[in-house]
Amino acid sequence: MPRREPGELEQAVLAALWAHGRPMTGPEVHAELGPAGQNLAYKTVLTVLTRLHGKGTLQRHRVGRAHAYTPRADAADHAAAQMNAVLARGGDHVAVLERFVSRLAPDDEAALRALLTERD
Amino acid sequence: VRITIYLCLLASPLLALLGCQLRRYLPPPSAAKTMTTLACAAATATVWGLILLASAGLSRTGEAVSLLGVNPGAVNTADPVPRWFGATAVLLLAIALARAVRFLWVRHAVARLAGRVGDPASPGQLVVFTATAPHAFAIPGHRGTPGRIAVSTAMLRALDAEERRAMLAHERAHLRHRHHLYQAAACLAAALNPLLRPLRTEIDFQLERWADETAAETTGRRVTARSLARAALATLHPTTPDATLGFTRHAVPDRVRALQQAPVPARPAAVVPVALMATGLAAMLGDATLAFVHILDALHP
Repeated sequence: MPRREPGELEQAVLAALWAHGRPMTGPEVHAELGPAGQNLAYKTVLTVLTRLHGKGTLQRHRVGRAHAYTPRADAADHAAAQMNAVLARGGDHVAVLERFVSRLAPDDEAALRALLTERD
Repeated sequence: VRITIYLCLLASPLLALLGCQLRRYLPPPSAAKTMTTLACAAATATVWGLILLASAGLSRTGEAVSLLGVNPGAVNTADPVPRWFGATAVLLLAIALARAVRFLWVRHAVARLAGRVGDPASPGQLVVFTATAPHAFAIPGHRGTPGRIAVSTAMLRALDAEERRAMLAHERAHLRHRHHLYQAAACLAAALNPLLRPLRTEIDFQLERWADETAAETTGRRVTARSLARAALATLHPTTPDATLGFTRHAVPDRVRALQQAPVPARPAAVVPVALMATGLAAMLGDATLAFVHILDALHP
């Protein structure tokens, strides 16, 4: 397992919680991290969850003997306002931020769909 | 001024266009570095060439003659630049500089706004923001704040665990290799000389490829390709007509295809013709500058 980069685990945990959009317990998050979590101790995940809760990034409530964690939606709304300001100022004519994907031409769609089905 | 100055002005965009061809011979990191160097060299040559042309052309105008006490005869023998060439060069220079200033201004404003997103005290922080379009950005560090990653809720929901890992690795690669500096250099060069725009687009593409390849080192090429395809398809969702989402024709399919093929083996020999041309360009610039010095001598004997 290559050495993890700073923040990598926190990113993965927060991303998993947002992707599911429902409260998740420590074991659920650990299971969700999939291949990335293969060499990942459950305790480490729990530490990250506790730390993110301590920072105020996550909320938690008790479910039986465990805690269930959810990301704070108001933080994402606040970030959305800030990001919209960035995007409005940056516009499209000056590429100041690198983006993961750009809009797709209609004729590209079929090729990409084929890619996604061929793996199964 | 000798013919070399016109050759400089002609050669720089030509050299830059040749640089675009390097994608076939170099893996993304070296391609991005070489192309950015070329873009900077070509932009420098353009600006310096225009400055020389402008000064040589304008030193013959009546104003310069009376203001500096120039001997028109001496200038005419040293420098056969028609005066309307000088005036055109001044105009082009002014446009180039205005475009460069505008770019730097917008870039600064965006960096300032982006610096406020999330918690400036958390290095490598993932900032999740509510949006119906799949966005993922690397926010470079600015004035001491560390780099962060901003991803929209729609992006996280579109991908599975492995694909999310690839996407995050891609964004971390942008930050770790400081891609925003290459991008800024390429944008600035294209602002100074709009003929360099194709090279700028190519540099952007190579930076994305570089980040894709880095992500593929952790998650594998197939997962990275899948992640890209899934994210790109999510942009087509009917609820995401988002004008802020950039459009680059065929860029995503090209990146997916590149991940499906074997990596480009490095053929450093491909750089040789480009390096030779760049050396020639430098020599021509030097020659033109020498000629300019001769004019200055003629002005102040």
